[in-house]
Amino acid sequence: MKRLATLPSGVSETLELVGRFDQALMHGFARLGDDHRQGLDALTEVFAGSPLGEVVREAVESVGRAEFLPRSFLALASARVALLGAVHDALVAQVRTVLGRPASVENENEFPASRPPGSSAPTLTSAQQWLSELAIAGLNHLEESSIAPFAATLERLQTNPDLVGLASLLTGFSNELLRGMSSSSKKQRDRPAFRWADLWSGALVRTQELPAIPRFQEVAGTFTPLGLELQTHENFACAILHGIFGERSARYVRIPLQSYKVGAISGALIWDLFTPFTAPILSAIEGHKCLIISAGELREDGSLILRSAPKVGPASDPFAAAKGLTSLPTPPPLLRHPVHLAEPVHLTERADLPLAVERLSDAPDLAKAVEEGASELVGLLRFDRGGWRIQPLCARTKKGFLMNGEGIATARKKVKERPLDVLQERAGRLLRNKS
Amino acid sequence: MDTLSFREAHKMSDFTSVVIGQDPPGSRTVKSVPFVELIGGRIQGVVSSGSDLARVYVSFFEAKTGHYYCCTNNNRPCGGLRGAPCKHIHELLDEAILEFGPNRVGSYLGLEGEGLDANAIGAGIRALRGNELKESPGIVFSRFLTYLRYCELNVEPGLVLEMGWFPS
Repeated sequence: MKRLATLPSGVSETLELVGRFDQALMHGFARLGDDHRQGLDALTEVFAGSPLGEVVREAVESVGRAEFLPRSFLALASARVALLGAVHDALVAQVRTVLGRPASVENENEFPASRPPGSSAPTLTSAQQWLSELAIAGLNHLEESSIAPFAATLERLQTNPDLVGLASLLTGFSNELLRGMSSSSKKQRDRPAFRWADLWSGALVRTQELPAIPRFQEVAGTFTPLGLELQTHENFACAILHGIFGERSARYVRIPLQSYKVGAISGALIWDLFTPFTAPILSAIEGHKCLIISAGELREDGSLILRSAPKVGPASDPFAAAKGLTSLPTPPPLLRHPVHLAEPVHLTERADLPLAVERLSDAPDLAKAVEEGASELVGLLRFDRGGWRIQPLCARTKKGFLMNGEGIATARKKVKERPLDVLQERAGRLLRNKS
Repeated sequence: MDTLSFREAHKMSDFTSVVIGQDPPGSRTVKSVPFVELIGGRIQGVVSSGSDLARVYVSFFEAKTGHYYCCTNNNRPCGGLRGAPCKHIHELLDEAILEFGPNRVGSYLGLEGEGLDANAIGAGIRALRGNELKESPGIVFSRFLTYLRYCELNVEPGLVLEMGWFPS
């Protein structure tokens, strides 16, 4: 683990190159200064001779002449995504070498082909247009009137089942931009340039095509939970249950649950969105039990989709199951980014890595158990702020073990009101009155 | 800025993809106030009528000026407006504090200082002494309907990789 303290060669130089691009994006391409132009020229140099070389050079020249075409911004976003994809690959190789796992980022099978935009093209082009306008103005110089007109496009994205990834990303990004605008001028200096440039470029490269249709095999078997992870913004929630699936050929998988939501639904109430899976999943976590899955879909990306509600099974031993931890397949090149690194690990001695506190705000007890020196833990190795970090999922304690997600079932019982029911009643009455 | 000074000015910790405390602080019951938002320099939203299930009040309170208004979705002025914000507006502000936290509401209203609480915000609001500003409920009401849509949107099963940028 100590070997993770040194970054693979090229990573910090690449991050600096990205950082210089981000300064231009924050400042706005309509008002580039000399330092921003130098940063963009450095980008041209780095890509010279590579497959992206020509389009990056053209894009840098064109924005340099104040010619702002969506195609140029797409090229610049692709360059940023490619740089961070390269950082991702270098980090995957590093962490898997340290863990003694196969270090290749290439999958055995080819990635299924993404699809042309088809009838989604106008919506995707509108999103491209809006993201280009943000870049021209600069993310530091936006007003509510730069965001508001995007609402109609966003609605179209949200109702398109092929585009849930892009829609959830852009919904969160536009919420965050609006929020950043209303904060005081002191806070404006703390705007997260790297993060916003991630969201901007990640969204822009996703406007070119539709994601591939996932390949899967039908499965049934026993699932041993390792811990829960929650990802949310105001209007979307994902719960990811990490665990080991199968007995003889056990492998590490993630069960994802996802839903749109409104801001008033947060904390334990989020679980109202995931029926009929909520009750068995939360009670298995609470009671340290396995889940029996009778109808599942095991996808190539390592996610296990539940087709029917699982049943709570016998007592689980996450540490015994974690001996079978394996790496997940890496995502297709366009979707790689260090933020998605989540290498599962089973640690039996203290790792000299900082806790990923930014991912533990809902798990104070687990964070405390780890800080106090839990003798054994299962977690995910994450990369952010220029270094490796550990996100615990489950930790050994004096009484047994503590798993992330424990306590939610109890917290839900204390809530009397069900906001989702109230809002659905309101929606039923008022939306239909209107139309 | 040359490369050297960029390096001096930036730490590795600047390369932050996920930040702490993205999610608003609190859940709240939506029984009386199904919708509240901070937008356009206003705290605005919808308050359910206590007596008629099909009726809602559409209210706003404006930062800086303190102007306010409240009417039904059919554009009938609220009877509670007698030269001051009615109970619907007060309910709206209380729920905004629950959903967005006192600091965000306070700074949206332009109140100074850290660690604001509901009392400080209440005092700040009274000090503004705004006027009644008659306005059609159309825009806020249609934003409310857009917001309700989120409760009816369906998502296909599958991992949403992009949510990796939004840990909570």
